[in-house]
Amino acid sequence: MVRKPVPDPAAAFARTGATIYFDLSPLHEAHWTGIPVVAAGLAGALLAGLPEQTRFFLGYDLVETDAVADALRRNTGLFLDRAIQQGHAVAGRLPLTRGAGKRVGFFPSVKPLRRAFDIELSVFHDLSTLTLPQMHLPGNVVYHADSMLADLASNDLTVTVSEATRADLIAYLGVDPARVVAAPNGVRWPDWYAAEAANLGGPAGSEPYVLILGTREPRKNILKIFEMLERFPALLEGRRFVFAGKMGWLADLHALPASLEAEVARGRILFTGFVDEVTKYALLRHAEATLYPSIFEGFGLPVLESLSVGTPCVASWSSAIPEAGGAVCEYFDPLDAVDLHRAIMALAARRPPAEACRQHAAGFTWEAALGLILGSLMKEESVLF
Amino acid sequence: MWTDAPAIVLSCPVTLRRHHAAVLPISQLALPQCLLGAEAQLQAFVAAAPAPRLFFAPLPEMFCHARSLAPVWDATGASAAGPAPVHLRFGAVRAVRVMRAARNHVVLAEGRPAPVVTPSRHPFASGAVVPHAVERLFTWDAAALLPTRFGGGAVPATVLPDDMVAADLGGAATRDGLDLVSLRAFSAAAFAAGEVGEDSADLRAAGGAAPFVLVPWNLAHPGSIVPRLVQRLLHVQQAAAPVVRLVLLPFNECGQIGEVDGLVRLIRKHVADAEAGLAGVFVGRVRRLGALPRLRARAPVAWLDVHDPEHDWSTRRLRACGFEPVALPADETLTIHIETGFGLLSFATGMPSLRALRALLEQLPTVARAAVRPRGKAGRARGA
Repeated sequence: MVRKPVPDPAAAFARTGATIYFDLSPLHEAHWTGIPVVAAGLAGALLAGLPEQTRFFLGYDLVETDAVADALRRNTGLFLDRAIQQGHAVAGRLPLTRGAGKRVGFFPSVKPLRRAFDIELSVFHDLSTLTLPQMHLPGNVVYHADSMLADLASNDLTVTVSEATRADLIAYLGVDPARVVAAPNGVRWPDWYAAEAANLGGPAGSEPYVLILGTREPRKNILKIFEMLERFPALLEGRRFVFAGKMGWLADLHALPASLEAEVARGRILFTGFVDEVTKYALLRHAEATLYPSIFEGFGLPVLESLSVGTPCVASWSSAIPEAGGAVCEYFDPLDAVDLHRAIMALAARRPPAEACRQHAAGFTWEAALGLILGSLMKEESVLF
Repeated sequence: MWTDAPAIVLSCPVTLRRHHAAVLPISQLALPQCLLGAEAQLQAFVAAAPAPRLFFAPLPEMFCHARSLAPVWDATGASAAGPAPVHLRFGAVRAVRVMRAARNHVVLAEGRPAPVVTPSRHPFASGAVVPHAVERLFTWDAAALLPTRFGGGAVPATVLPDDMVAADLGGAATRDGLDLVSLRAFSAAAFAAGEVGEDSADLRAAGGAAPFVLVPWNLAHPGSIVPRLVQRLLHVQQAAAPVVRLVLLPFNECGQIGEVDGLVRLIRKHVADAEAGLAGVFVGRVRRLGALPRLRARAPVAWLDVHDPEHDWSTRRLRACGFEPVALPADETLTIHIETGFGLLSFATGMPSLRALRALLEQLPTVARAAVRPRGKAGRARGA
């Protein structure tokens, strides 16, 4: 049976008298990248769209909404975590008694609690720990795998950040398609980033550079960029290659080859290490283009972030990445260094207008993601509420 | 078979850096070895069912979006609107992957379940289930105990013809295609990078009476007894006067060749006169089947771990290649607990006691003589 979409899911949800309890686990970290960014986006959308119906919790503690809003403004969980630790931001405990309306537990990642609420939903970001375990630390694989089935079993609705991850859940774990919804990530930058970025120059002065953004770990496939630069060294004469992101795991699988060490010494290849969000924004804004060669992604947020500031992206066509990049990206085979070179040259020859990039990214908002999630919940209204 | 399929895409677990395109014609496929495991099964299948529509995909799970499937359509001549291609997956049950927009089938050589006990909640830790989307299993053995579909339910299965195990054998002998290096000289990086050859000081020094014995080592089976067997032997064997020289044949290698380094470290830590011992144990790899006669001349007998899930297939394959497979006694029972990417796995297994090992060594000359006697066409003649 094809069910009709719900016209205004937030309003429909508000009418049920239910309350959403949003898990803050990913947001008490100091630096937000990846999953914390998604959690912050969804939390912000809840505060904007359903302020009266939203509560936040960490562990068994309810957390003051103002403290969460402050963290979202600051774009860091540093102060939120401290305030919770010191008890300033704690607003009581999770309710043990029944309330007037249903309680909906909304978990933006792995569930620290299960079957604590009347209705539960959690977000699956990707199944790469399952399908590409060789690119993760065994402990990380086990951590995700250990919770995966229990989270699915206790969910009334499972949210994925892409159709690709939704399809993986169905294909590998036989999840009922009616109980899993794809709600693509959004992108939003604090208003003050643009002014800040204008004052921050690029890392290479006025010289053009290609930016490769992300934690350095095997799945990100930067080895393929090294291979391409070894085969096509002329690329380094016209532009620098800037790798921004912290060193991750299994470093021996993505180490810089000795043949390129001279290029690092010459400053043609730069490694910035970890960069904060505003610096990341500035790097994205000033880049000639970004490169995203990942082997496998649950979504590919850096692609969307690049496009959102008008910087075109050369991206791998693997897994969910084309869902994020749409028609404005130049795609390549992530196993083929020659195809990567072709894509870079193609982008140089046919650079998409910055406005086209921004316009594509503008279609991805956290409000839209929340709308899809609530819409899916409300389709089941008669059963759940 | 699959006359309506526009293409048949084969895959097995591989070390990704060896491959330079997401989909390639099967003629361009180069796998690290071809004697045992998924690589050999895939090659045998290709020889048995040659077709212009065969392709190889190193990472089939990567294809999903129409944009990522486009290269598959381009390479294979298929289209999104037409019949779906068939994806045939080879390798361990725990490593089965699904290709989107394809009919997913699994060719399974794990004929006997490794009796694993695990507290892990990893969906595929048990090795007894395949992903939900798998439509059909192909097994080499009618008696094989088959995995079920994740979430419950049997998967339809078809038994492959007997002679398919040896379908790729029978080519001419070649001068190269064999790697043989001592554990002392072994480097995982060099081994993974390409040809190592068989010219080393340890190999040249390994003359004398001690025979060479092949020991297949399934790297996809974390409960393998091979590392323990090597250590046991080195503990009791006098390095200066060895009674046997093992040639380890790692297979189903998908980025775990470093386990050989791990074994070397263990030996250096725990075994007396370790360097001399390491010089007398070898790691081998058959890159081309034409090298089989040279390997057979050096080591006609193979000892196999009876608890290896691919034991039956390996036995049939080695016999077809003219080797004499001998099941290792498992009279000393043990449980191997091992941390893996699937969590802690515990395998109930068995290995030869010292008494059984002694008996095995005593029988070795007789077995080796039997191995080198000419046989019928199903035996040594093929592949020679």
